[in-house]
Order: sequence, then structure tokens, then C-alpha cells
Amino acid sequence: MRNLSRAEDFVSKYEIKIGIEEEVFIVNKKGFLSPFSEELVSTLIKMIGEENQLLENARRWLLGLQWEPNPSQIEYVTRAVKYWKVKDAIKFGRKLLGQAAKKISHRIFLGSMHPIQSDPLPINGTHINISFKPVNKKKISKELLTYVFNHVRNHIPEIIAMTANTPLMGGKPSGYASSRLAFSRVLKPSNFAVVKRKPVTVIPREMRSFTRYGVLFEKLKKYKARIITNPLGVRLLDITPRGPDTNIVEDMRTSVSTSRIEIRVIDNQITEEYLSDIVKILLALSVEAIFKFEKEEKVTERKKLLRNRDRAIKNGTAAIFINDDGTTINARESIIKLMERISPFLDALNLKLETKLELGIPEIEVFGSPDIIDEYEALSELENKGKICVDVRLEGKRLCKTLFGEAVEIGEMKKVSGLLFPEYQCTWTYTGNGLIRNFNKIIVKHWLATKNGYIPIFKNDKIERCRNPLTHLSSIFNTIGKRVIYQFA
Amino acid sequence: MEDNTVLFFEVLKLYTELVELEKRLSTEKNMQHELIQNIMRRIKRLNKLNKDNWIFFIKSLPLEFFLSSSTDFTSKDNFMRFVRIFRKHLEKNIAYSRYSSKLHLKDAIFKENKLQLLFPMEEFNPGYLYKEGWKPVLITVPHATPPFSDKNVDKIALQTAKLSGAHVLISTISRIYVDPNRPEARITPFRRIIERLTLREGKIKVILDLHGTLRSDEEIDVEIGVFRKLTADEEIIEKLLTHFQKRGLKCELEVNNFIGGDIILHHSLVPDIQAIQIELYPKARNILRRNVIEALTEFIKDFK
Repeated sequence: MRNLSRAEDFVSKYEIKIGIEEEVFIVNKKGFLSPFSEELVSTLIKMIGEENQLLENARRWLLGLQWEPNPSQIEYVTRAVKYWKVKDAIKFGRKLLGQAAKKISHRIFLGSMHPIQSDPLPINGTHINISFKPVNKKKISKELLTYVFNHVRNHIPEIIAMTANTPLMGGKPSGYASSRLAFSRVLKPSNFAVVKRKPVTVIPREMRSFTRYGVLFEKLKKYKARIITNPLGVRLLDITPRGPDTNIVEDMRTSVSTSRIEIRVIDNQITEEYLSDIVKILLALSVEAIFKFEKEEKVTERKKLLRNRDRAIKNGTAAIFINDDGTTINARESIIKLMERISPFLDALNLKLETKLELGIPEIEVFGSPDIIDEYEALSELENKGKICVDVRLEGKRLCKTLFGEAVEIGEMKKVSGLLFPEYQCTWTYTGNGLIRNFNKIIVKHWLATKNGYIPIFKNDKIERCRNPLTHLSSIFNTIGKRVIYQFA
Repeated sequence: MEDNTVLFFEVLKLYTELVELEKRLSTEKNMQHELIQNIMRRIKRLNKLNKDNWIFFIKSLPLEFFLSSSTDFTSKDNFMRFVRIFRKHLEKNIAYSRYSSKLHLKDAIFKENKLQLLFPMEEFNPGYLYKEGWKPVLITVPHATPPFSDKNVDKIALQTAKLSGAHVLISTISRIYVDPNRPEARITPFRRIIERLTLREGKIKVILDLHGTLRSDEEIDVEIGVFRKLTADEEIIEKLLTHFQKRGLKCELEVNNFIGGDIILHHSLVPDIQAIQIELYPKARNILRRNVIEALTEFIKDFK
């Protein structure tokens, strides 16, 4: 680094704090979503009530728990902590939820998307908030906040490539490294931030549940300078500056101490090591921005930022990014270059990466995504096409289940008709503490629901006819219509 | 959204055609081949309009429909019954769309109701306890097994069935694995038995879906839910309310928003099959348990 001692100076001049918000899934012992967030929270309150030390620790590390729209999700929010304490805060938050889940015969799944049930909703994410108030000042200046935001935003493609962790959706590969970002309706791209003088505050229509005003004149001066990343003050973007100096509606009346940048693009990282390394990288990027700001260097928007962002969402570290000069670079190489550039800032912050991110190897490459073991893939294809009304010729004898739970044998080569449906099973390596980090396998079996029960369908069985339920209905009308005419005419 | 709006209007047209067919089947001796062909074409058109429209139908109609073939309707009576059930289920779904945007505005529902099992069939089969009765009333208890069970509700159901002669169906799988009162569970044996008893065997005229809330409310012991009178007639609701009140129970209709779940919504076919959700508050499941059993027994005894 050009001037490492200066970088160390900067670190001492700023009070840097980190806050993490992480959404997780509540799953049953079979690994499927279970809508019991209220029960989990009441159990947690009971646990805290019984153990003083736990209460003290919860107060120390966490700001609170948040409800999510889906009752099988829950979010913990850490306090704004010193940056070297982030990992402990994450560990505590996860462990606390895991313990509470265990008490109600459940588990916490740390992934961003459930590999089978998220299609694409429900979706979890990790939001990292970074605050960097100058020690001798009351607040972060608008210009500095804007500068750091724009600098970090310029690295969104690399951040996405490093953290993309959701290749599966609805029980099959989605074709995206981050299905969460590809299909999310709320993680839209932000714009390059500028400080603008705005005459009044326009409240977007979608915020009407927050305040019913369309325009707020109260207390505002004729013109007020605000940081604008979205003309309507929308908060739910991939990265946003936060605090009262922004035009974000929810932040209008907040204190100056809440000024920060919030990075929302990050897919959940299943290990605390990877998540805390991502935090360290974002922190180093922010310090680099402060360093550049003080040197009065200009920050400009990367030319192909949005295109690179899309490529990272699609291909992760295998993406090819376009440089400003039109040349291309592999995403992994781009990450390695970034690491080399920010390493002096990491040193200045006395931080060391614990994972392979330094080599551009993201978590998904270390732990992998679950293997999908589909015993009869052609049936899954039929199911995707909606052709679930099938006639099957059974290749061998079969033990079936009646609706009353009895086992009945069906003879070889028998033709059976019914509705095809899959049964999913998940396996994982349980590491204790009520946490499921990653699924190893997803096993897909197929059953035929018949009039009197259920028949397992195996690979050698022959599908003689398949059609979708509407075709089935129309054929009933067709045949009956003719027959009735024949009988009654 | 555009496609879903088209779906809505096509469903309305299909509904009117079914109404017409049902009317003609009951009044005229001969079939109108043209009308049946129109219905067939309408269904084909729905299929062509959007490749996912079938999900709306699998969600709205009984699974029995898709397990049947034309050979199951060898008589005019059977066919009339089929048309009637088809028409009534569409009607219910159109009416229900008043309370939510499920029918035509949110494409998200198309993804939700895929038939799938998220628990091992081998381990949980059959997943219920069924005791046959002789009255045309079925008492269901979908949340009888811990964890998160409705305490004492299964005991109330069994005792009531014993005294009254009602059929009783109790889930033996915890709701943490599968909640029988949700659309996703329609493929499970618990829900298919209800369909079999109501539609195929025609044994049931009334479904009483028993639940127990943890919520305490001094003003109420029993809350009745009928999806804003969509799943049961006023007369039968009044009758049930009166029986509870006679036994000293504070009973109200949908005061705390327990309007009902998928069991009563999907399996009701008013006026042939009336379905009522009964939410028992803690007092009604404990010190007033006997009063609840007596009220339900008296109510069921009137059905033949």
C-alpha cells in the first residue's frame, strides 16, 4: 500500500461500528419449513427469564428479534458493535435461536433459500450495516457518507460473486448462482448517490403504510440537501446510505447516530467465519474509501456496473466482468485483485481473513450445494409440465399403501392410473446447537395417488399415458357427452 | 396478471355453462350434446390460455375428480352429481375470491399448491385415527398430536362421537410435519379420507372441525367459523350456537377472526355438505369440557 501508516491513522480517527441483521428459517426435524416463529420467540423469552446470564449476553450482543412476513422465518439484529466483536455477536445470535428452536423440537436452517420450499419465496438475507463516525465530530458528513457508499457500491459485482449461495430453487438448480438476488422483488439495484437540494420530501406511494402523507411540508426548509440514491426514497435496494441525511422515508426522523451504509445483497453465509470475513472485506473497502476521500480523490461510477452485477448473480465467481476500458476479467481474478488492494487496510484494522476468500473461493465452493437424487427424473419433468394424470404399467410387484394404512401387494405388469406427486427428503450433517448449516442430499421419490391409496413408482415402470388435469377433465366431458347421448337420445 | 384476469372470466363462463347443464339435466330427458361439447371446449381453451391454469383447477376441485375416469359415470345420476359438485366448487372459489385476491390477481398462488409430500409417506402412513359412526356427521381433529397440539380436543371429539354416533377423524401426525388444515395437505390420507366419506361414499352431511386456541378471552368459550357463511347455512349455524348457549357456553360467530381453515373451505358443499370450524377456548377444553360434549352430542343427534 502506498501509505500504510496513514491508513492506520485513519482507523484511529474514526469510530467504526458494525450491525448485522440476519434472517433464518425455522425448520422441523425433517428439514422443512415450520411456521412457528411466535412459539420460538415465546420459548426464547422463557429461556431468558430463567437464566440471568443469558439475558445479560442477549442485552450485550443483540438489539432484538424481528418478525418476518412468513412465520417460518425469524431475524436477529445485533447491536452496533466494534468491528472485532462482530463474529461473537453473530455466533451468539445464531446459537440463541438454535437453542430456542431445539426446545420446541425444531432446528434453525441458516440458508438464504430453502432448496425445496423457496420457489422463490420465502427468502432470507443478511444485511450488514457499517457506521464510521469521525471521533471528533457529532456525525458523518453527507459528503463522506456518499463517498463511501459510492465506493462500496462500485464493488457490488465482486461482493455478489463472493457471497452468492443460492443455486437451488423449488428442488432443482435455478441456473443462477444467487437465485435470491435473481428473483427477489425488493433487492433492486441502487443508483450512484449524489447530494441534492430537494424542495420538499416526496413520500412514495408504497410507503403509505408508514405515513399517509404524499408530501411532507412540516419543519422542512424551503430546500434541504439530502443524499439521493433513489428519487422516491426507497430503502429496499441492494445497498443504501441510511440516516436522517438521506431521502429514505423511514429515516426522516432518526438520530444522526444512525448514519451508515446498509449492504443488503449478501446471501446468508452458513459459517460465522465466512460471514465475518465478508464483514471484514466491506470494512476494509469502507476504510479505503475514507482514505481516498481524505486525499480528495474522485469517485466515479464503474461503467459496466449493472451488467457486471447481473453477471455475478448469474454465474458467481465464474462470471466474466467487463472493465471500464472494455477488456474483460474473470470474477475470481477480480476478487483476488480486490483482496490485494485492500489487504493493507485489513492489516491497519488488525484483521485477518479466516477463510479462502483471499483466493477468491466463496463458501458455496467449499461446502457445495446439496446433491439432488431423483430416482426417476422423467417423472419430475412430467410434473413440471403439469402432466400429472398418468397411467403406469408396473414393472414388478409392488407393496402399496391403502388410504387406511394397510400394505397391499399389486401384481406385476398391472396398469394403474392416478395422480403423480413427489415426496422429498432432506439429509444434513447435524453439528449441534440446533443449527442446520447445509443440506447434503435431497432425495426425490415419486408416488401415484390412486382411488384407494398410494403406489410407489420406480425407475423401470412404464408411463403409458400422461396428461394434465385439465385435459383429463375435458376428456371426461367428451366421453360422457357422447355416451349419454347414446343412452338417452 | 393479464392471464389471470382472463382465467377469472373464463372460469365465470365455465361456471355459467355448468349451471345451464345442471338445469337441463334435471329438467330435460335428453342431453344437449352441444352444451357438453362447449364445456369441453371451454376447458381446452383454459388449458391453452396458460400452461399453469391446471393448478387453479387442482386447487379448486376435489382430487377425486382427477382420480376418476369417464367409466365412473355410467348413469345419468352419477354424471349429474359430477356436474353439480364441479359447479359448486367453482362457485365457492369465485365467492372466496371476494375475501382474497387468490383467484385472479396473484400469480404467486399458482406455485403454492403443487401436490407434494414434505414428510416420509412410509413413516407417517396413514397418519390418522378413524372411527366409523352411524350419523351423517364427521368430527375432525387435525391438530391432535404434540408438539403444538390442541390439548383435550381429541378427547372431546372421541367422547362426543361415542355418545352421538358421529364419525371421528383424528390426526396422529404433529402439525410441525404436516398441517392437515392447509391446502398442501390435501394429498395426505387424512384429507383424502374426508373426500372419500363425503363425495364417494356420501355418508357425511356435516363436518365439525374441532380446534383449541391458546388465546384466553373471558367473553368467549367457543368460536364458530364458517368463512363468512360460505361453508354452512345460517340455519345450521344458529342451531349450533343455540346448543352451545343452552349449555351455558359463551359462543360467538367469527369474533376473533377464527373464520376457518382449508378443511371446511375445501370439503364444504352447501347445502349438501355443511362444514363448521369450532374453536374451543381454554376454559371450554377444561372445566367446561362436559358442557361442550353435551352441546355437540345434542346437535349431532338431530341429523339422520
